[in-house]
Amino acid sequence: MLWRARSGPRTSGSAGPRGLLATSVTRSFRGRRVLDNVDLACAAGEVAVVSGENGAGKTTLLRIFATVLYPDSGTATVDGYDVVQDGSEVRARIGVALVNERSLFWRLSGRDNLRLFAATARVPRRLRDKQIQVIMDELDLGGIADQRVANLSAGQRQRLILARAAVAHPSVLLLDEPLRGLDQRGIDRVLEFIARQSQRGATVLVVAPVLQELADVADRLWELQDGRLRNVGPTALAAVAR
Amino acid sequence: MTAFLEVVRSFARKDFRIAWSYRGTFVVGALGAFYQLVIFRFVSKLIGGGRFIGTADAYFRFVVVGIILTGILRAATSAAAANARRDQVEGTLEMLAAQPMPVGLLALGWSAWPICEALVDGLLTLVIAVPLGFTNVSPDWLPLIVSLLLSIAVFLAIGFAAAALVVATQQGGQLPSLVVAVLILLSGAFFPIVVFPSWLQTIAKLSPLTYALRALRASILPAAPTGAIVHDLAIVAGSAMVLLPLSVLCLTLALRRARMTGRLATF
Repeated sequence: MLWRARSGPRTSGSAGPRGLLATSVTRSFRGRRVLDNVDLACAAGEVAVVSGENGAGKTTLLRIFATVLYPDSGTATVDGYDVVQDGSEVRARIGVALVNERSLFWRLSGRDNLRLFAATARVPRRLRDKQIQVIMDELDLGGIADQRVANLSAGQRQRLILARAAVAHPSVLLLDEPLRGLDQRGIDRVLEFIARQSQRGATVLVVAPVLQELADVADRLWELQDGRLRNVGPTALAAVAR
Repeated sequence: MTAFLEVVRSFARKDFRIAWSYRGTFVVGALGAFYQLVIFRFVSKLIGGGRFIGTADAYFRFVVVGIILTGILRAATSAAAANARRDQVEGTLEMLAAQPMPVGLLALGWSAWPICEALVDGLLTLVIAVPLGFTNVSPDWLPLIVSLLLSIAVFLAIGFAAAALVVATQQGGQLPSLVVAVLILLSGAFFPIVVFPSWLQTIAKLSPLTYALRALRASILPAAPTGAIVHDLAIVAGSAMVLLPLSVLCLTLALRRARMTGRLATF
């Protein structure tokens, strides 16, 4: 039996849809509008990919859903919970993988990193080690689980960041450039991992500069350009896949 | 409650493992405790029998309790800010802020291992102090434990407020050291506050550490007055009840501000 993080929308009050929803989200940094009235909807269990050039605002959008950055205006919800008003409820439902190797504790082993974050996500102690082992095996990290993060390669650290995001089986996964720094074997593992997360009912939002490899697992595709989000749609995905 | 403690334990375990990866620090810490006690043993011989303190042994007992409590004070006051700053610089703060845990729990997690370490250091200090002359003590365990817990709560509040400053401004990590230095001076950690001029004694009475130290000494040392211990503990408890929620609120507001400005991931 595996433990799962909270899922589902609120049961009282203004219930919103499961999955991800952004409505007119705007965010600026030092006068530069990075997100401009962005609308996005991703239903529960779907894999959505947002692509765009470097600096287009993809990570900013992801960080807003992760509650680590507030929008200047507009609303964003996760499983019906507002990222600003209901931050703790949102955080109980998400798993976040930001493209930042420094977000790991480098003096600890990969397993100890996951132990800490499984504890903060309230995975019961009796299930924690089993759940960690399962996710590490899925991402081909079993053999290096007890090595210090400092001794891992960039690709291994990248997969460890993904394992950390998924260790509590959240209902929503927010993945920032999950294929970055990976070799072909690593890319295949991560694509399988994303597909598996979707199959178990998780909503997955991926942001990446290119969408080529991700086309096979994506249900929806957006492109972010000049702060505006354009729905590219499944038709374009099919073309990319070809 | 179990889940709450489990998170704190996990943070303590994480920080212990990181600390243990630099094992030399533990040895240096133990040597430092020994060195400090030897110095004060000789100082006690110099000033013992004076107007303000009893025998050399009495002063040594007085100062050992001061050393132990100030060690715990230092840990409780500086740990949250130091770890908040470390997480800011190392890049782990943003990920911790995305976890489903209350702000107070994060702050407690930051402080857990340093306080445990300070308590262990305190025990080590006692072990070293006994052969140096820390004898004739009669601990009254219940008041001792209550004094210690309430003192930690007050000092944690100062630490959480300092962490709030670090999160909000990305600086201020050194502030707790300054606060500790002032409190140690004012509160009679190494000498009784009766040596102060009267105006400074009045200021000393505003410091919760003054009462924490007095209560702690009253629960350990035979010569200390015991009648006022309830009064002193009430002041420390009152300070904790006011300062702790206030400091958690400060940290909550600081994290909120960091989310608004986008500074969680920058340093």
